Amino acid sequence: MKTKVCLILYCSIMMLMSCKKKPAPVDNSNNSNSSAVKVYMNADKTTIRLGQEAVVTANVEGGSGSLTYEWEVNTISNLLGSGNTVTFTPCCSSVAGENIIKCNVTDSKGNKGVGQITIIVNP
Amino acid sequence: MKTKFISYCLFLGSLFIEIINNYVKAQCCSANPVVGSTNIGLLSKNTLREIAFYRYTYSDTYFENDNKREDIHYLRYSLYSYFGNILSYGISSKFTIDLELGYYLKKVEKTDAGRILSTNGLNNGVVSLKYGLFKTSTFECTIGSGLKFPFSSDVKKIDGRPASVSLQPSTNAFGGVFLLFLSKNFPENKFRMFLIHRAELLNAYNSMYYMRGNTFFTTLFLSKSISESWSILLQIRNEYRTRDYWYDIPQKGTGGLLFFISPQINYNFKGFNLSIVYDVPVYRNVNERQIVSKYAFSFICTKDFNL
Repeated sequence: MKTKVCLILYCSIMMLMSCKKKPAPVDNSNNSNSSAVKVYMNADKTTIRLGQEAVVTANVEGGSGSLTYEWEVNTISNLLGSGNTVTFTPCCSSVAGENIIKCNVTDSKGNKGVGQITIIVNP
Repeated sequence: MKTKFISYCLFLGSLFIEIINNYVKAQCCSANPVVGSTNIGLLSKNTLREIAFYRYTYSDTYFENDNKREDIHYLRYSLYSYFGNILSYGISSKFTIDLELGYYLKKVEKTDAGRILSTNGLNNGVVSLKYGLFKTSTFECTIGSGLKFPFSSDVKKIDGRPASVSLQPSTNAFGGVFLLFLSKNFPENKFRMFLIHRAELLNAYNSMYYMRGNTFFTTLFLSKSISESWSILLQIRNEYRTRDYWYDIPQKGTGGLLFFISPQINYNFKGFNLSIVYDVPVYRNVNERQIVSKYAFSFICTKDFNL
């Protein structure tokens, strides 16, 4: 009886484990800047090959007080650094193509602005 | 009768999970490093086995399908050093439970731009239950399955953002592990051969919505005792990985087929079994372009305790 209970419990765990988490869709939307904070993006290179890297800078117009920068990329590549400048380092051949880098900027009053730039990675 | 029922349940459970897996096209996870003749077979009742191992792997060569590409070096090199621990306990003469834990002391990648990226941390743990279908003094057939579990759902970060998948020490997701162990002894020749098949599948997505491909290891061991204390082994190992998925998109540059030959030497000293294994890749056929293992070596220490 004990063995049966253990087996049922064990199989239940395995079945539960097979339930997959539904992935959320990729958000590639272009967010417009608010009037208070405008973010202009530029990069030292907008086309690189795998193994190389690009330095991306977010220049901000407007906003008040200290600014916080939140960076994201729509692939599994690395974004290194902080503040208004990061280094984009493509990780692997699966990121060849367009890599969209976004920077969300928030000022001390909570005003937000978003900038984005596309870096092409050639294999 | 009881034995038949248990075998039937385990078989049905495995089959059911396999069917689900095929149905949902699930892919899976970074495999836990497999070393030497470690977590194999059944233990006697109330025997506790402790296996501690260290593994180092270095890669600096790209392959495109089965062609070596000297001209590609997106990464100049990639390496990891890993400390693993496997605790096994014989619950009864038919059942053995295993707990696998591991820690990446370092995972390092050097890019072609000269940047060195490095992480460390806990790998997934695996708890598995093995059942002896058939065991005599010269033959053993054992099956098992287990749960691969992460210690954290948070991915490893560099500069506050998720590090790339190849630098993550853990899959940060649950998964399944299935085992088959076959062993045949030839005591008159002091020779033993055994086969281990291990499938790591059914991995869930992690918080980066990334799911690693299924991994299948098949290893044939040929073992010969050369004295009371010394024995030599030869492993012929096959690793097959399916593609990773990110947001349901199959990832390029993931998955492939590898064959290794791994000589292993064992020394038994006062109940401690010490081994050295060296992995030599003999065939590599990967999807698109990937950096592949150039060499790897492991040190293993095994000790049994009768409780």
